[in-house]
Amino acid sequence: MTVESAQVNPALQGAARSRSAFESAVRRLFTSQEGVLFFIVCGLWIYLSIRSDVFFTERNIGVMLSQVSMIAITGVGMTMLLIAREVDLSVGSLQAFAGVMAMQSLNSSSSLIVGVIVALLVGAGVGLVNAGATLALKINSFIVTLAMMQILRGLAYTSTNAAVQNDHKIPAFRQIFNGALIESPIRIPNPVLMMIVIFIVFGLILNRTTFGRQVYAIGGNPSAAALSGIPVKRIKTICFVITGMLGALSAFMLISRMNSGQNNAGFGFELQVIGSVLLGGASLAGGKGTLLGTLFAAVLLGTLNNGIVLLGYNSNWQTAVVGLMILFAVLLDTLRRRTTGQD
Amino acid sequence: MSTLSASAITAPSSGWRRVQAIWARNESLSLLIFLVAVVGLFMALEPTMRQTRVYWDLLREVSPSMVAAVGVTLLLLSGEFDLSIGSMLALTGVVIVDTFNQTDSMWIGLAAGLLTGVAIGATNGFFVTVIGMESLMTTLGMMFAIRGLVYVYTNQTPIIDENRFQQFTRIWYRNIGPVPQPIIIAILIVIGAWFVAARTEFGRNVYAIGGNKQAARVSGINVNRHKFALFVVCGTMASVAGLLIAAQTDTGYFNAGLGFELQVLAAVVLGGASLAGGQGNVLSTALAVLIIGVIGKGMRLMNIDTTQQLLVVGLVMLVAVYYHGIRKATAAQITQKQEAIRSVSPGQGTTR
Amino acid sequence: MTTLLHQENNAPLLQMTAIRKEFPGVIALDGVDFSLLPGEVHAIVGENGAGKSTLIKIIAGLYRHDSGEMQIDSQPAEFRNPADSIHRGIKVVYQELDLVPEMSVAENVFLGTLPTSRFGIVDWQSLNTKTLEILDELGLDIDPAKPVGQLRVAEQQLVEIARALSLNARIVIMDEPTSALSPGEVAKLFEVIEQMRQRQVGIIYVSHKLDEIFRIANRVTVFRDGKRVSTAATRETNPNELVEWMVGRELSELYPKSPAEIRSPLLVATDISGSGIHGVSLTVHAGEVVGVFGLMGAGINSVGRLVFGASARTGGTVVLDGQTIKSGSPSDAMNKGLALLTESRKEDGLVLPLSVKENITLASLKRFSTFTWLNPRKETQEASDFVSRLAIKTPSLRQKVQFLSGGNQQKVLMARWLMRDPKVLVLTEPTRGIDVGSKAEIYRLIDEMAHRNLGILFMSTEIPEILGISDRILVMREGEIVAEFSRAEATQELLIEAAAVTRRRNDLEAVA
Repeated sequence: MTVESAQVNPALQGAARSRSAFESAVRRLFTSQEGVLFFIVCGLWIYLSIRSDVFFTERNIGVMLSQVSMIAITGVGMTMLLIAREVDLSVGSLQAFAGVMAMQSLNSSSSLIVGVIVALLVGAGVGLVNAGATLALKINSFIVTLAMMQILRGLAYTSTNAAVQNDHKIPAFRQIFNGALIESPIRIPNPVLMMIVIFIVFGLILNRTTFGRQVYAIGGNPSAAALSGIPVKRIKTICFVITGMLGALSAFMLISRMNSGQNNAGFGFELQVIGSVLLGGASLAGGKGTLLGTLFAAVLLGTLNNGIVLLGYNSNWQTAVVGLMILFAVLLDTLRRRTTGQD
Repeated sequence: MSTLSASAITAPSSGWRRVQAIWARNESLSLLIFLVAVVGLFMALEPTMRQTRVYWDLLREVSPSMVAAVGVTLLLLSGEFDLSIGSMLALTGVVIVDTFNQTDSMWIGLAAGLLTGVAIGATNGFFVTVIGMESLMTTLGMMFAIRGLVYVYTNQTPIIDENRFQQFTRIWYRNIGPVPQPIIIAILIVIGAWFVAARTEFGRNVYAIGGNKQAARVSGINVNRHKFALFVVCGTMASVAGLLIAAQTDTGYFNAGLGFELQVLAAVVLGGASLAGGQGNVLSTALAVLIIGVIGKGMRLMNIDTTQQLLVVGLVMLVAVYYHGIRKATAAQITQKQEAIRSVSPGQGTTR
Repeated sequence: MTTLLHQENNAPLLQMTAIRKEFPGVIALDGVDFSLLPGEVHAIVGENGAGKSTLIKIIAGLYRHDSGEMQIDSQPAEFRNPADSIHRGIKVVYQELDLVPEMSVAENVFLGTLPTSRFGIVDWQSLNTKTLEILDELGLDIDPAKPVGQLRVAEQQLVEIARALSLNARIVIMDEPTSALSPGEVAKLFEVIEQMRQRQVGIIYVSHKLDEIFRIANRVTVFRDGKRVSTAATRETNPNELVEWMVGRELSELYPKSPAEIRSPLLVATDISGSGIHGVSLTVHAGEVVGVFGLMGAGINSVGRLVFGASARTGGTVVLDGQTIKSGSPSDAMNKGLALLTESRKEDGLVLPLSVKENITLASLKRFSTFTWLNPRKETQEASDFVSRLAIKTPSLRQKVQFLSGGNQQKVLMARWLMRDPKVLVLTEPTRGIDVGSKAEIYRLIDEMAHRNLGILFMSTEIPEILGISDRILVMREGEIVAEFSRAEATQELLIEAAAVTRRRNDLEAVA
């Protein structure tokens, strides 16, 4: 439609460039997945603000976004992995395992730094193993990480609940993800601040560096990428490691917020993360997806959960809503691909 | 190429090569050997594992997984997934027991339970084949949606059978001779599914769809209709599994089958089915379910921390998939070598 | 037009009128008429992308036409899927091998129409006997129980043809059925076609091998750029006329070959092996276009991949301008000045979800970045330069490459590699499936590159373009180079003769 009419000669193209850039940005806002999500979130926020006095308060939004932050932060890594046409189902079990490991090392070292480093190292190690099994043994990452999911859950259970209580009493431990560095003009809880920083950093990496471009290219067409001299395995490995580390970071956020290790944490977490990423516009077929989409999708799900509680609906609806949102997203994506004649 | 090595392969004296070929082309055989080895290992380590009673119990316990795994295998043969089976299992249990309580009729309850699977399977099939949605994602959504529905309906409290139908619980506990009834049901289903897959036109078409969808399509096979039927079959199998589980406790439990979909998928993959479709068979899947069952049971009896089974199952899965990969590669290599010989030796050419 | 040649007093089996089919950005068929009579072999010729395969896919029920009418036995026909088409007695032998590799020969031959006894249970015995009968008719000695994936390419193609005989089809469509066959096998196929013709079967024969068409076809229809150019009885036309109809211009205009100065050797491959290639040696000089010709399955694609290192070599060396190129490392080959355009645009070349700009710059990202940080302005500038230099038609640089036409997509890939300023460009079937206009531009580009002292290694299965643009022609057969011709001495006949597969058993056959 618009494609044909836009076939003007190159000279004209230059003159019209700035205008068409604006136009396409506007069009993108309305047609892209993240644009649609943005409007849905806005609509929902307005609706909930009208229906509930509590919703649009600093405190409620802060709590809601803090809850969202763990899914969203892990979702950053997962987005990169899905763009590169891989997946990690082990992030849920990792949340338990990395949390337990961090808590144990906190207890034995009484040092916050050590705890954080252990958590991140565990995450990086798990990511490396996932990458190694996927890339060196050439096993589908869906299966590798499904196995890893069981393995990590098993390892997490090797320490009992009692063993991972907060015995170290480091004051900063609770503070780090319950407090807020920024109190004015509005209070931004640390998990939310963390989330914002991570999204900005990785957003820049994904969109402004050769690495980011290569991630998209690998997922869009692995063999074309390899033939263009892109180190496919190295880049996929980095994506796995980033996912593991961000998963471990969210595990640390969880134990800080809960004030104890949780060896049964993160059941179904992997599917919520993947669900958000896919709702945000990524595809299991690789090559597409944006961090903004993931963020909006995670916020959307958080808002829905929050709204269900605030409006006094049965909180059991929360699970169903996640499922319906995923179905809706897939439906939307399928219909859109049909009409544009892609695929 | 070298005619020397060629004759070595074809020569009947080369027994090792032949063994290698049989091994490489026959996944059920490897799984059977593996199963025997695992059983032997646990027998050696744990005296209780030497009692026959243990194995009858084991067979009873694995039967729901086996039934559901059959459905998933058939569906995976066509290249599609169903992640909603765990939620379906819970919903079936809830529907059955709730219908008992509402109607005071066991048969209506059982019928309603099985219809649940049919209906959800059909819904999945509709989304995938008619609308064209991707099955992995669609059934992931269905998994949450159905589980949520169960939570909302039960308010996360178990539904208990007020009529205490003896006949219902007997479905699970009854023995025919020494053999537990559930495993008889499961084995009948496995045999039936094997027959359909290996011997009927429908089954062969399913393999063709998974092996080369385009070829199946241009040959006039209605790909979507076959896939739709498989989704319904898979849903029905999940409901049968749900029925068995509900009969075990005489309750509709809202959290039944949490994580079931991934456990079953793990077994199916251990059985050598390919996620890309077209490869795998239900007999191997059944053997894989048994292997995982034996490992779990053995470790429990050895008082190894129950939850650590997960670790072992995960490792076994990884090793198995890697092993299947090697096996398939060897099979392809053997084929290639024979091919090379064929094109060299004139006697075996296409002359008539 | 269709009333032109009624040699037989029969109503047409198939009658298509004013068929139109449009894809996003391309008009694949534009008001095409076509008819097929009983007992007739009707050949379709045309360059790649002329609309032949779209027409076939409409008849096969894979596509639905946007407008126009299709009649079978004077009854309107509207196919929703291939099954509809098969039920009306149509059978298609596809060029891409549409076989299920894991399944047996017999099951593949009868795929979709397996003989069954009651309850849909497959009747293996009747399946086997029926398959044996058909294989016998084709003179094939293949075990029906053998998995198709274990057959040679030529055998697979014959199995594909056997499928056409499995149903008593009244309309049989063959799309390049001989692309992997030896002359002996081709002769056998033609016997079978002759038998079918006797039985009043109508055959649509798609091929670009003009000699075959003049051997077997009654009529021939020429397509160009989605339009039917002409339909003629084969005895009333000649190969030269067909070629002119196909390309729509003087041949010299299509192949703007001008002599470039050929200098010192640039690329020297010595005795390379791997991926079905045995001991291939070749040299490309600066300013020289070396054409490599071979039939499908002869291994011409593998040579490009081996030289570039996209596939690992099992032996041999490749030296570019004095530097040895590692095996299995595309980035090493790229850094030393080699570029490879693969034969499959979609599978190995384009990154479909990415934009035109991102596709062009994909192999040169280092140029636009400092410590991995991209400079978007510089990237856009250089990509834009290439878009205008290669006359790539796109609404903007941000357009997703999947929405471009085949010819423009191919130019995007050319741009990707030219941006790297290579010393030697390896092109594998660069004109496959694109329109004549784009082809001409690609030939012009190749000529221009040669004048800039690049070495060009050009692989193709199409004889006209090989003859049109090469300075020197190598012919491959079964993974080996079997002949070499200079531009002056090469002819179509010589190339075919050299490339045709003459296996030992055919010699045996001839003796027997």
